[in-house]
Amino acid sequence: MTEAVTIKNLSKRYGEISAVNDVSLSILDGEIFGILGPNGAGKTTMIEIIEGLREQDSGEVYVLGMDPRKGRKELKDVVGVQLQSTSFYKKLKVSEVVKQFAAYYSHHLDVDGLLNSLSLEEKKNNMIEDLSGGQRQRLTILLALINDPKVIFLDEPTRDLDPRGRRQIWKIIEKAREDKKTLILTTHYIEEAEKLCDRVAIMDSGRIIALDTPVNLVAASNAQIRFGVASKENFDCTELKKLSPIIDCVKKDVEYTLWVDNVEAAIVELVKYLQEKNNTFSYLHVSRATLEDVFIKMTGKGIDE
Amino acid sequence: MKLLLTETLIALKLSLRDRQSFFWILLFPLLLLVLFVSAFGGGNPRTVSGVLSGVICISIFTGTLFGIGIVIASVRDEGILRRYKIAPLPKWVFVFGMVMSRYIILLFSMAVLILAAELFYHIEIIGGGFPLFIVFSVGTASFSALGFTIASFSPTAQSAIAMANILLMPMIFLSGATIPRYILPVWINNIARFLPSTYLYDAFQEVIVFGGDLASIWVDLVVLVVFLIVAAALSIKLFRWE
Repeated sequence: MTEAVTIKNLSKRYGEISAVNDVSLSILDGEIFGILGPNGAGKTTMIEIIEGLREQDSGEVYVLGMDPRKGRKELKDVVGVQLQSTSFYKKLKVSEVVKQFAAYYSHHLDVDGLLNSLSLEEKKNNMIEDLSGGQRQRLTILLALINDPKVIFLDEPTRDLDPRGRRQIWKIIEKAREDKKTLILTTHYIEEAEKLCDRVAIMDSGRIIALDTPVNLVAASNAQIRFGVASKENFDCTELKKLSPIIDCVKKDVEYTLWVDNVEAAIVELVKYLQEKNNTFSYLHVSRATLEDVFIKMTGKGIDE
Repeated sequence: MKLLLTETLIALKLSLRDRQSFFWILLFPLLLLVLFVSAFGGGNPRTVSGVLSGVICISIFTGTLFGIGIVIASVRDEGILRRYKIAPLPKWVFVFGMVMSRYIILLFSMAVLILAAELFYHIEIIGGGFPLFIVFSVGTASFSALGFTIASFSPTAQSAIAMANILLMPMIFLSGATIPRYILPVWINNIARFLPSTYLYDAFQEVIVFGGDLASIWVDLVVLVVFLIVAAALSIKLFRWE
């Protein structure tokens, strides 16, 4: 597979703050690539350098083999960008803005079809100033798709959207996957990255601290076993902790929680231990770590902190 | 070419949908005309023609410095132009679209002024339509370029407003557009010689009041074209989308 985006040792500083710190990564052709991180992690700075909106201090970026700094028309023509911070002329109609931007590209998709797929068809004769925040957000996404781009950049596309609006965006991303587009998306919704992305880079303080498929990221993390037992008298958390697959054991009220790195082995050990003590489960609940757990473990903080 | 038309139409729509623009395009120049004519004595058709030349100049100055300089700086502040930066639209198309829309608006404004002067004050434009058109076109292009230079130099809309106003004052008061230059002291007249606005006023006056043709205003036109080239080069070099 060829690379749609190549980034080598990319760095960007703002005064004392290192917004992007020596990042290297490759995004493959046809990949849905997520950049996940808390606010201020450097996601927007990085994606805007790739888009050609900002210039890096050092390092190299290539999109479809071209340097976005050069602002070449042939690159801009096949790239679609949704900006996180953008505004429109208030006194233009939705249809006028869409037609205006459609005219800039060598070819464009059917305007009415796009308006439909983003539920903006009823608003097309409205002035921009009459749109809600969510509608404006959907318009920025529409403009990113208008030239049927090969590479699509979406910067926090579902921010400010209600659940229905979010599902619409997810549908659009799924459609991009079917159409074999390369799509780069930043988000701080973990479920979104987990659900949509082929690979996810977790970014924190300007660095990529993990990069893999959501499944692998989760698999590399600990699973949880929660359970209750019939008799608490001969049950001891500290003894359980000595067993090798079990990393930690915490008792809270009547429930025990184990953190384990191998679920199967841990269950075997746990059952053995219970049988030795002639005890039984009152219930047992096994859960894989979510991407959120991975995120918290990696960054040491919750995503909204 | 089609793109240029699209951009021009968009810019034109935006100007016309702005509530204030009605005032600036139509009412303001007409008010100035009536005001100046009554101030300088309306009986003399030559005075009216002189006032008319001045008011056309003023509407070009304000229309370009405010209508381009401040407008561009404000929409840039709002982040509207960021989206243009990543679109495969050449900068010059955006710039020319903006200038074309201003040109059309100012042309309309000038036509209304001339019509009003002819109707209300029964004056006759002695000079030909062609030299008038040339002076108007060269003048609008030059001062549009100045408007872009202001937008390019100003980091924010606030500073563009300050800069446009500072530049506008001498343009209006020293060029002869409001106060006849012969009543101003010599040293002010010497300063005025360095302002392109003086040459625009002189050219309009020569055509409208004295019936001059291109041959009699070529010096003014050359000065304005040189000014246009310098301002355009500066603003192309310095212009930013954000």
